[in-house]
Amino acid sequence: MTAASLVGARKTLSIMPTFTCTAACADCGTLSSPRVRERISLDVILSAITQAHRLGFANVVFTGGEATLRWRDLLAGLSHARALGLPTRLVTNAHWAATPERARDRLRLLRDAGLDEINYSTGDEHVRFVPVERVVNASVEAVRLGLPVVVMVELRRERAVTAATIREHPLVRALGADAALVRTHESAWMPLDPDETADYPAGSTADAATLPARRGCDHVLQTYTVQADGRVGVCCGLGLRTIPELNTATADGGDFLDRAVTAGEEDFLKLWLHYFGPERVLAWAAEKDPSIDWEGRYAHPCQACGRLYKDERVRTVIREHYAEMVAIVLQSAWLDDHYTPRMLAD
Amino acid sequence: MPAPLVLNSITRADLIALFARLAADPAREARFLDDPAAVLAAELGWDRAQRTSTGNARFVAALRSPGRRADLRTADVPEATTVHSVTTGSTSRISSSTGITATFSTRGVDCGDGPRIDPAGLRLGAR
Repeated sequence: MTAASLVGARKTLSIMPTFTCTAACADCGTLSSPRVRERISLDVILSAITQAHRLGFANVVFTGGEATLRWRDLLAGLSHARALGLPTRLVTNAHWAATPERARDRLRLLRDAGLDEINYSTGDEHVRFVPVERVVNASVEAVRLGLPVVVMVELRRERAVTAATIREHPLVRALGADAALVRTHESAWMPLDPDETADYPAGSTADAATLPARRGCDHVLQTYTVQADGRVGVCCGLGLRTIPELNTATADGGDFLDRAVTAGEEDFLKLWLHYFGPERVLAWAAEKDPSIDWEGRYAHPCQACGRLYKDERVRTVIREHYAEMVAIVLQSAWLDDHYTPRMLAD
Repeated sequence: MPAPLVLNSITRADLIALFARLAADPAREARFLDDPAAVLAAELGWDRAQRTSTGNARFVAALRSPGRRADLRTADVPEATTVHSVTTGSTSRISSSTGITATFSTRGVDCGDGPRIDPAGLRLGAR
């Protein structure tokens, strides 16, 4: 646990060295594209890692934007994290893996610098800019180098690229038993605009019937993201750029992570989101104001979170009635982080 | 420009102090689990009308029962799944810009040699 933290989960430092990306996917959750140019300095990257180590964070993730566009700074960050004993992950679109040889060379450099695991992003939007073969090359070579790999595939009702596209690719199948090491997951590809409803497979969106299966937000107050514009957010990063309240510090001085944690945990709403998730908060708000229609709209909690922060009706209900939820949320915090682990470990 | 939606009537410092007292005093912790609103009123002066959670009450009762604790240790808690695709054979997950771990997790709690327990999943499943 991070020192003097209300939230028990070990924390993750996420670093977006740049918002620039080789892809310009529609509905990118971080508003990244080749046209945007924000970037943080290597000094800020290294300082963030040092602070994360000092605060007892669990791991460091490099994402973006396309973090590999800051190649030398990425390697420097990985080396610094390894020197401090922090596990690392890279989230990338694999644009750099044009051939198996090229993929192997890049992955070897990343691994030797300090990379512990790698994630690739692909799907119908990504392949408009990065051929899926590059994700396959990068996945196969990661397995051969012993680097744990996960491929995240965009999920919409109609799509050409699926998880099976990766798993059943001849180069992946040629790995034999090791093909299972190319882990694939599919996740709703969401618009950031809470008023838009994307076309998802049946059963994907939250409603009263599926609400019991929804979790709290595992990222808010667990992941702290140093973004390419110098703001520090209190969640994983999807939608962060469009929700000012989720940015609690700026990356200046030597204590910005501590300031971000402290300011984040001062806000009861973020605790509520952590332990109950945005869909439950929306459902609660709709009890007070039935004009708040939320069912069947959101497959991804980050879009539901955007709704909560951007819809004045929801904001009004939260301001006027949140007090009734304080005891339940704090009791839940105590249960999740203290009582339940202790009772089940005995 | 609307005012930021930040709810800071209860301070973090007060909550950290309260949690420290709960950790140090089993009787106080028991009162908090039975009636959190009363403890908040007594210790923080937070005496505004509170909802109660029958789900949390059920969950606390289960945790206090040795037999039901054993069941909870082996309970199947679904991951953050949204849908299982028959056509692709893939289980969907909630994505984030930080991706998914392939090697270790910051979520859940190690429980001996058994699977990691997921307190939040168990609690929310009890609702």
